[in-house]
Amino acid sequence: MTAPFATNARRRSCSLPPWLGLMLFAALAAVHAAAAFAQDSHGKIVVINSSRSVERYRLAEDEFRKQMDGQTIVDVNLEEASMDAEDLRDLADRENPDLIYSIGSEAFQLAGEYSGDKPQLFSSVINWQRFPRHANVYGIANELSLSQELSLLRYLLPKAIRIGVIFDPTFNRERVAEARAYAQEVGLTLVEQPVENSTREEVEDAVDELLPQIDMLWLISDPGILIDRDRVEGIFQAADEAGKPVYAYSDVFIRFGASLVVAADIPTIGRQAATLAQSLLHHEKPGVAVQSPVGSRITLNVCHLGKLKVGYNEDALDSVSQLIECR
Amino acid sequence: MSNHTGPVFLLHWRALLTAMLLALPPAALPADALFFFNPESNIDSYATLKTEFDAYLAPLGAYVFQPFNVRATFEQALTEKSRGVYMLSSGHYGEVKTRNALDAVLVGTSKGEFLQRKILSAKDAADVAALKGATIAGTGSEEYLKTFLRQMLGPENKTLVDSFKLLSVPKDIDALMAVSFGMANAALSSESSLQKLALINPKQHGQLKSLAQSEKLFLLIAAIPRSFRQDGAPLVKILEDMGRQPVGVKNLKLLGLDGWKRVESLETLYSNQLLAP
Repeated sequence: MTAPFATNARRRSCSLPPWLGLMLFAALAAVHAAAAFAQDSHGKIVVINSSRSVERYRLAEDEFRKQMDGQTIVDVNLEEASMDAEDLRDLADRENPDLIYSIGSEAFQLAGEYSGDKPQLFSSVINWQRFPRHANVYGIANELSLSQELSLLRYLLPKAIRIGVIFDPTFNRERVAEARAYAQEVGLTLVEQPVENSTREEVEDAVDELLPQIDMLWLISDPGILIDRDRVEGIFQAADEAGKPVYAYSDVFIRFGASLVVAADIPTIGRQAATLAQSLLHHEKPGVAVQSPVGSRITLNVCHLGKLKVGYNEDALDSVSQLIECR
Repeated sequence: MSNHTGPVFLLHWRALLTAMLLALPPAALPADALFFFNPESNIDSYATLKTEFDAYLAPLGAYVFQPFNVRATFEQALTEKSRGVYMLSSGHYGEVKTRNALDAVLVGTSKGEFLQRKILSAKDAADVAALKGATIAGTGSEEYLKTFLRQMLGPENKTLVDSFKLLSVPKDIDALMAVSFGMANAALSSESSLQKLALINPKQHGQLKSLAQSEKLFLLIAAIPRSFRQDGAPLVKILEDMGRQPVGVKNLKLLGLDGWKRVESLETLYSNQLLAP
C-alpha cells in the first residue's frame, strides 16, 4: 500500500498536543457557541478530490472548505497519490470521519468501491447515475435541472417559443418527459426528436427534420447523441445553416457557435455540498438525496444572436456572467 | 461548423478575472476611474463589466472601470482618495461617507424607480418562525446575508437567523428558483426579481409567499470624494448620460439599472437621507 495522503496531511489541524488541543477546543467552542448550528465544530470530513489541478474540482473543494471552516478536514488528492478501496478503508478506520465527500468521477467511484458505513457526499460527477449508489449516499448533480434550464431560456430569450430537443431515450427519456411538462408551465413548446442507438447520419437526418419546426435547438447532456466532436460540429453546422440559435449546457459549446449557454456555477456546487454536509453532520436526512445545482452561470453570445437576428431580454442582462460581443 | 471570427472569447476567464482584480492597486491606476463594489454582484460578471464599460469609456477620455471583489480594497482606493467616481450600495455609502468626505451625486434607477425592497419569500412556510433551521438562498457572502437578515428581521429573531443555513448563489433568480425546485426553503431577493419570476413562471411565483420585507433601499449610488468634485464633474456627466445612449443603457442593465437621477433632483426627504452628515 502506498501512503496516499502524506502530502495532504499538511492541511490537517490535528497534530497538536492533546492538552493544547483541548484548551483550543474550549476557547473555540465559547467563541462559536452562538453560531453552533451553522458552524458545528464536531465534524470530521474526508475530502477525496479526483484532481485538484482540474479547475472545476478545485473550485468546488475550495468553496466547500470555506463554508465548512472550523471542521476537521482530511484531504486526499488522487492526482498526487494513488489510492484503492482498501487504502480508503484503512484511512476511514484510522480517522473515523463523520462524512466522506468525493469530488469528480474517480473519487466517487473509489468511495463507491469502499462502500463503508459512513455517509457519503459527492459532486462534479458526470452522469452520476451510471455508478451504483448506496442508501447513505447524497450529492449535487453536475448539471442544472432541465426545468431550470428552460426557465432561464424563457427569461433570456422570451421570443423563442418552439424549442427543439434531440435525445436518446435510453439516457434521457425521464428527463425529457419532466422537461415537457415543465415547458408548458413556462409557455414553451417542446418539439422532441428521439433517436436511439444512432449513427452520425441518423442524428444529422433527425436534426435536419427538427430544425424547420423550431425557434431554437436545445442541446442537453446526452451520451447517446453527443458522442464525439464530429457529431457536435455537424449539429451546429446544420443549425447555423438553418439560421437557428443553439442553447447549450456548457461553455465548451460556445466555440462551436452556441448562442446561449446556461451551466451550473461550480463555486455554488461547493457551497451547496457544504450545506448538505452540515445537514448530514446534524443527522438530518436531506429531502432529496441528489440535488440539482442551484447556481447558474449564463453566457450570452449577442454577436451570434445579432447575426441570426434573434432578440434577447435586455432586462435579464444583470444575470449574465459573460457577454460575447462582436469586436 | 460555423466559424465566428468576431466574438471575443474569454477562455480562461477566472484567471483573467483574478489578474484584472489584483493587478492594479488603486494607486497605480493610469486614469480617472469608475470604481465599483457591490457585495450582491456576481463576481463572474466582472470581466464582462470591465470589458463593456472600458469600451464605452475609451472614446470619451482617459477613464477606466475598476470593479472590486473585496470591500477592503475598494475602501483602500477611497481612503487614498484615488481619483474617480465610486459606485456602491446605499448601505455601504452610509457607512463610509463621513470618514471619507464622500458625496452621493447620482442614484441608479430601473424603470423609473430608485428605491426597492428586499423580500424574504418561501414556498411552504406560514411565517418566519417556521424557517427555524431552514436553508435560505440569496446573493452575497454568507456573512453579508446573515447581517442583512439580522437587520431585516430584527433583534427578536437573532436566534432564528443564527439557525439558518445560508446558501450564497450568483443571482436573485437562482435563489428564487432554488425555492421553487425545493433546494432551499426561502429566498432573499429584490422585489424586481420576484416580478421577473412572475413573468417567467406565474405558477411558481404564485406559490411563493412573502414572509418579510426590508425597508426601501436606494439602488446603486454613485459618489465622489469632495476633493475630486470639480475635476470629476466630466466623469459624473458621462455616467449620467449613459442612461440616454442605447449602448450606455445596455451597460447599465448589466448592473440592473437603466439610468441615473441626480441626488439634488430627488425629493428633499431622499436627498437629505443621502447628503446629511
